[in-house]
Amino acid sequence: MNTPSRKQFLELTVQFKLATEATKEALAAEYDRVAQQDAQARRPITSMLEFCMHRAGTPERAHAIFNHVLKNSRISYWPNPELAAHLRDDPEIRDACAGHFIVPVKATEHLLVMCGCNPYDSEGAGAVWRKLAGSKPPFPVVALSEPDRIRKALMQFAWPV
Amino acid sequence: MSTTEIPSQILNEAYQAIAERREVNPAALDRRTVDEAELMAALAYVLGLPLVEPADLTESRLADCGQLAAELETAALMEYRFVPMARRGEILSVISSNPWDPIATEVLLGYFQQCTQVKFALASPQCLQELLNHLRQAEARTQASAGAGYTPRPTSSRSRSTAPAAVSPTRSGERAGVAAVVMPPGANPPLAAKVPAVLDANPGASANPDRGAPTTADDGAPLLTQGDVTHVINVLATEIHRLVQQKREEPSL
Repeated sequence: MNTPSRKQFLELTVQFKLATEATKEALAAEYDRVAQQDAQARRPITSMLEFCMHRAGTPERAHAIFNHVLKNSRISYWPNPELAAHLRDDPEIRDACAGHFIVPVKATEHLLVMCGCNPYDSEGAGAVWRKLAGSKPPFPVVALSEPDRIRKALMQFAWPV
Repeated sequence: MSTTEIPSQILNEAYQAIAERREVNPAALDRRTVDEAELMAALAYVLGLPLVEPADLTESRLADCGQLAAELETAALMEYRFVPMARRGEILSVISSNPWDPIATEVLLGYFQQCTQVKFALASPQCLQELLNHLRQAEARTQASAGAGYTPRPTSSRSRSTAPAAVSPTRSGERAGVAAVVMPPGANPPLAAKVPAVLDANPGASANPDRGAPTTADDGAPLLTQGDVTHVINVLATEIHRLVQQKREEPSL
């Protein structure tokens, strides 16, 4: 588990009592296993937020977890992320996005807008930005969105069959 | 976009970001070489906001905006230059061409009382105008197709000013049961009804039609003219502005 995921994990497990002190590390290890399986299967990794929402118990609590993240982060919200169309066939960008669970929704000469679901994760945004940065790198902006919507947008990449 | 409308600090930061990106000294940057696309991108970056452009005005986004904007007066959207885009829990997401305006935030939070925070997406004034035009067209289509069975939206200033008695600035769902004036689906309540609920001197009016009676004279003519309503709104807006300034100037403890 990388540092941003760990931070979000600790915040959400405490805030929503997803684990006790005694079971916390077991839950973290379970996340690691899930993320590793995703990476091996070459599909978008399960984000920490998604993982915690699945363990919330009820849809209401799952929504509450997302709303908590949204409310307590300084970054803005993007309600319906869609992959920037011209990046659909780029396998390098796809792999970087899948590995960090972040999707570029706008990639122009001047601006790169990405949608993620971990406000602590500047690594993911940085990784995608570096892939797209040419001689004059675009201004990066990150917004939050729901994990299921980001996953849907990530599936707009051309994936190997 | 007219740069005169942008607070100088934000504008300077945007130009500084552009200079850094071009690897030139900020003082040496020729601002005439910065086109609108680059300036908007830099503004989005320094404000940390996603940028909405005409290409982003998809059917689904227009539908989302239309649904929330239907609860607000189009004139107010134009005046404060925002369009609500989504509501998620206590967060209201808004497209705005001047997200730095504290009054707009206060007005939004006053109206969407279940929301405690506004998160913005930036749009150029031209893009916002395009969005508003779409919403107006959609609204006109809805009204045209509403057909008989609905009382037409009041148009004269006199009839508009009677509205607070019938329709208070509460949730749209609450308006439905109070029906001196029945609005067609998607139609905006009259201007006076658009005053944020927090500013409403008589917030219970919609729940009890009798309480609204004093806003009309015995012969049914309104006591408040459109000018009166505008005056009240202006007074309230000034008061909000003063309070915001006062809070900002208060030393943090």
